[in-house]
Amino acid sequence: MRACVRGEAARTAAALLALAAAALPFAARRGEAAAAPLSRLADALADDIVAAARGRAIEVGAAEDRTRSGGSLALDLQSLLRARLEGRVRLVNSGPRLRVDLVLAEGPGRLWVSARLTEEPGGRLVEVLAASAESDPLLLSLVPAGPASAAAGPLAIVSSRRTPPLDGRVLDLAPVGEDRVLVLYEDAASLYRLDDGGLSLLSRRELPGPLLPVRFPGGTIYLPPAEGAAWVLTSRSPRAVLLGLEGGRLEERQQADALFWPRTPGGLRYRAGTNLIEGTVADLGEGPFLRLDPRGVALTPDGRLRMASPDGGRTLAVKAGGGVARLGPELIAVAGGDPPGPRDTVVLLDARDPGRPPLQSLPVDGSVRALGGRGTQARMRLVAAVEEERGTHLVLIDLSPLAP
Amino acid sequence: MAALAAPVPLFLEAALGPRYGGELKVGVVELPATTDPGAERGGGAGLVSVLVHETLVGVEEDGFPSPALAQGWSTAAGGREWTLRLREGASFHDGRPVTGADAVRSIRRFLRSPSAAAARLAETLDGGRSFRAGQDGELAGLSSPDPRRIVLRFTGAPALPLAPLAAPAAAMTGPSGAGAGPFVPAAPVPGRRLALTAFAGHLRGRPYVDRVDVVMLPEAPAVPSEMAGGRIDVAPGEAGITRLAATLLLVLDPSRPPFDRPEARAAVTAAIDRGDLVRHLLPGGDAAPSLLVPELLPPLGLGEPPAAGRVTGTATLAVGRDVPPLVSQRVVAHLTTLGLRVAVVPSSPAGVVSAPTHARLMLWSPEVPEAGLALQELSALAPAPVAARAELAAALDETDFARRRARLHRAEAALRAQWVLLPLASVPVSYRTRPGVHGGVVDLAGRLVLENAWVEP
Repeated sequence: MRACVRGEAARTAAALLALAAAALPFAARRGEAAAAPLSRLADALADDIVAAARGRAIEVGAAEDRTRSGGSLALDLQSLLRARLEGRVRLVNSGPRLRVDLVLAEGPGRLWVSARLTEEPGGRLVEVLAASAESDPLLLSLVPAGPASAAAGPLAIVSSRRTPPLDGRVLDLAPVGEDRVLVLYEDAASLYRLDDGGLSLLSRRELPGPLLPVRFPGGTIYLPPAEGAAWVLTSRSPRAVLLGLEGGRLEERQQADALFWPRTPGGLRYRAGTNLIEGTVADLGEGPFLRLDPRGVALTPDGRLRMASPDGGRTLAVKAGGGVARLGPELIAVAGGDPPGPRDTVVLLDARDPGRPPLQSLPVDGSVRALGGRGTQARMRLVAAVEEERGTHLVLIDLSPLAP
Repeated sequence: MAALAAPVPLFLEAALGPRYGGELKVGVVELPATTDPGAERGGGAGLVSVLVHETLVGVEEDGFPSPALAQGWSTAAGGREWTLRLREGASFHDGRPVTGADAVRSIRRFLRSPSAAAARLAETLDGGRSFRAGQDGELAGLSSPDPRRIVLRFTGAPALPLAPLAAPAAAMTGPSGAGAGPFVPAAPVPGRRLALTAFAGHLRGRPYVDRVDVVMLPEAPAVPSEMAGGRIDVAPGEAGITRLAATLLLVLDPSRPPFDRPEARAAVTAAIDRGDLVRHLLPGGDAAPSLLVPELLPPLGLGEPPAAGRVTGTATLAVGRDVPPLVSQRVVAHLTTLGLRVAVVPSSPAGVVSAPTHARLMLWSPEVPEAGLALQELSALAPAPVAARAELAAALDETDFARRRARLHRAEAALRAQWVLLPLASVPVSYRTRPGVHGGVVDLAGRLVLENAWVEP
């Protein structure tokens, strides 16, 4: 491996970009072709810089990081680039030189770098170079999502981490056990395992076709208790599928016309061409619904919270957006119901009386498209699919009650 | 053979996601008498066209075609033969599948329409000229080898040969005249009202709102009160949905006095203060003197300013009803300072294009938002100089992107050189929306597009 990485930032990069083979067996198995994306970017950029330099001295200047890795990736790229330029060009910090300023960005499945080469002194632009590299498709690296400046409330944020942009639109997600997450895309379901480095793809299963065109499709996962399986249905696929989850593999066990759902004799279907769920749930009443959680919570098509009740459900004045999840026995998480904007929130409600003002709000950059959660009174994990300009990320937030 | 296109995923940014359901009431200042493809021009006709109809291809902002009812295409014979694959499962509003026979029939209808884009397609398609002229019923360059494909054969290897198929007049219709657009016309009252319902079988998916009601406004100043009263949700006006997508255009007739003299036309050009118009009367406009809006062809400058002078006599001026009254008044004031007596003839946006007056003042947007086709369309508004026609013809046949762009710039300058087509400003096409309406856009042809519009609960 040609990468020359040291220090704390390097360790972050290693975790992020599959440099640590022991932690990332998939990457290691794929051998040299799976070299870290950052290394490949540095290789490509160094070659171009050497060609553009034409014998002139080089200063590796500022490195702007637009990956939300906290700047560590750009710093590592800077180091890798310097290592690749050493001996090929004269590296300086003053005098006549070409200064290289880097911008590192990420998108679904790729990392990009662009480099401005300016003549110093004087600042004349000489060349703009760009390179991109495919991210490791089997690893969704987790980086700190920044301090979630949550409004005051009864819960402390133990950690908040996010993945790079995923290669697809997330319709629903569900934590499976302690260390796995099932993600439902428009065309497939994927099972990931959570470890220190990130979410490793364990298995992916295509959904039955033909896939129908839907502008804003819906998708629902139902995890039957203690069955090691999941029912999934999207409004693009004509059939619901029961997927076995054993052994880290998604195995199709059964297909059906409708999605199995508790207390719903006819099952659930999507209204054609929409994200609206149709069906009659005994304690929630007749649809359509925008979202459903099997533990007696739903969102109505006009974005109101609906709670199960013996008389067929009651709709509250609580506005909510694209997701709802029970988070332990006492909490409900819903996506904010505000009009379009660059930020969204995850709102935590008291499950015993969700009509009361929210217990806490967790701001996120982007729009929450799906929520999943699990936990106990002592520890809760919230997983959100958050869509923003560069794609959809998963955000994992671990919460615990504040000490009294 | 190589597939050349792939669909681009739609990206949506919103905290609250798009919502299915609800309805939109859209006010317009004019409404076409028919929903037939490309029947009329103007904002109302453009809106109806994109609500009801779908074309084989669209045009991306760089001028290249994008998939629509044709999901892809391939080329052979050195660029002279193009095969379009129709989208699997695409259907018309009446449930019939879209077939190659429908595409052939629709293109034949298009070729004989008044559309400037149709004229361009006919120029390049094998047998197209004689078919368009009605001299021949056969059209050798168009065939459908099977229900899922059509083949276009051209006499040469033209640049962007599929772009004319993005014209509204080229929309596909079924045997009964049914369209394939995102909304199904339900209850038309010709020229006054058109109700439409969401088409579940639309190729990009069912639109969000269940229903769109397009209504004629009694008059433009009524918009605020109609909106405040909840009777309309979207209507022409400031802010809301907006895009620099129209050119305020003054067209002088060089065959009639006083504009038969180049000096008189130059004097008119010099007399109109574009900066004044934009600063005071066209918020969001651009006074750059280009026939096309900057997104289609960035302006390169006016060149030598024409000499000022006096122009006497009488001139009739047709003014499109969509031109803001204060703007037309200011233009008339500029003309009268030259010594002209001006008689204003109000005209519909469709009628002003061909009004038999000394001059025409209009808000012009291209039929197809592609620079070459747009300039060809403009060149048909008034007799184009020989040099401009030659430069434009060369540009339309140029397949190298950079050289084509340079030639288009020269053609644009040549079209302006005789002071017959006078671009006064690039103008935003704007629609006011009530709070809670999202997702509507104006495209580069100045049309309001509502297939992704949604309303908050």
